[in-house]
Amino acid sequence: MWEDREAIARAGAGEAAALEVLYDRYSTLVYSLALRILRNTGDAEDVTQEVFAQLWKQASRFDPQRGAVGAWLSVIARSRALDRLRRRGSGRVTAGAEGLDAIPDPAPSVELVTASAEQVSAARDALASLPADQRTALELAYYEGLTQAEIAERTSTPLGTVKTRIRTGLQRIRDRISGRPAPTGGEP
Amino acid sequence: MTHDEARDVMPLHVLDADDASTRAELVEHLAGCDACREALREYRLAADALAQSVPEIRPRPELRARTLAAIVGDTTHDAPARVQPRPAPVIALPARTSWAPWLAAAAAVIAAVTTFGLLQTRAEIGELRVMLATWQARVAEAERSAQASQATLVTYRRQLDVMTADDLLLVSLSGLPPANAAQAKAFVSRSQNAILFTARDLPALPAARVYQLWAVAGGQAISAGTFVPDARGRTQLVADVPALTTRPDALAVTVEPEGGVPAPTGPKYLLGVPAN
Repeated sequence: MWEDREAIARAGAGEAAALEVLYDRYSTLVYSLALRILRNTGDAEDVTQEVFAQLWKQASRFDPQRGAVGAWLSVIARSRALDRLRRRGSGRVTAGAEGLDAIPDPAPSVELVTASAEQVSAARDALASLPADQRTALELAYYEGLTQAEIAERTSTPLGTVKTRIRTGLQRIRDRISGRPAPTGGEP
Repeated sequence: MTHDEARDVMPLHVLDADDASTRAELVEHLAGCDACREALREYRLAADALAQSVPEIRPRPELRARTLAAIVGDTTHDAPARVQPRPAPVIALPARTSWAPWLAAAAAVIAAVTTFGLLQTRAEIGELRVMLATWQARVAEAERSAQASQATLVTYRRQLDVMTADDLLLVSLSGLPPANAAQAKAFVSRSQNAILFTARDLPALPAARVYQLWAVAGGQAISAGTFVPDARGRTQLVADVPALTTRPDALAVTVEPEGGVPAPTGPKYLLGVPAN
């Protein structure tokens, strides 16, 4: 079947079959990430639908030079899921598909990079082997969308320590992915 | 911002956990620093690996039809040129005519009609597929909605049965460190083999962990199921506990691995004894 680049181009020209190809290829990634963030199947399904609606609308503007389709969809999925999580937390009514246009394409200037299967596996191992406080800080930032200040408050930890935990945690994942030796030292 | 400062804020930046002022300085620094852009790329790779490293769970097959129908049915599209189905060609032939002069023309017309016919048929098949998908999605949605209503009704009925049981016990549970702020109430009925449980201000769970509710009776902890509270730490559930045959001495909530465990292993977050 079509490679990503061709499928995106065809979807951009309005070819529904190309959307089906991309859905079959990426819906599990999008849904799994949304479910991990929202922990609710109904919300994760809604986010999945929104992500592919955004892909359909913006495919013609997607620049393959900018990066990979999977990474693009992950960024959109995370952004939309976190947005929904925040609305849920604030008690505001959840917007439906009609609110699609109100949400801009997240960080359009960002370069997108996709990890290979080996790198994902390495990241999973690295995350599992992190000290619990580093892992928690990373998870609160990535899967709950908290800022460093919010993480400090949530975990009753000084801001400097939170920064160090996130930095050290992500460095370890980066190093494991790239096969570098693990850094020494941790929190001050 | 120096190189070292840029490297320091990059991990926070790729997770969107940095603050606005350092973000602006970082962006400014990156604009003129190839080495730091490459360093940032490595952190983005790590962040993408985090996205992809979540456990893979396939969405329900029904979501595919629903999503495709909703999207393709939506005609607002940023694409510059979209192929529209053509209207059927209308070809008028004279009412009375001799065959001879029209033979060649007829062949051409048939060829043209066949070509247009094929295009038309393809477009129609496409439209029919979309319509079919839309209706399949609607039926699935209606079934889901009916099932949800039915499930809600069953839950309310169950709650009412528990609340009106003759042997109703009320248990107030208090939070234990680190869940000091957490509070919960439980209504327990042995005759209904059920516990109606509500809690609030429970701390967010670590990854791959759930809360598990226990009834302690005769020195034995009986599981009343697992739950994950909402973003504000609240939950409400009716647990069927067939093993609850004697009056519980206490109720407790612990943090356990996903899927729950047969006997409590994790820290206690809530604990309470029957009031009556």
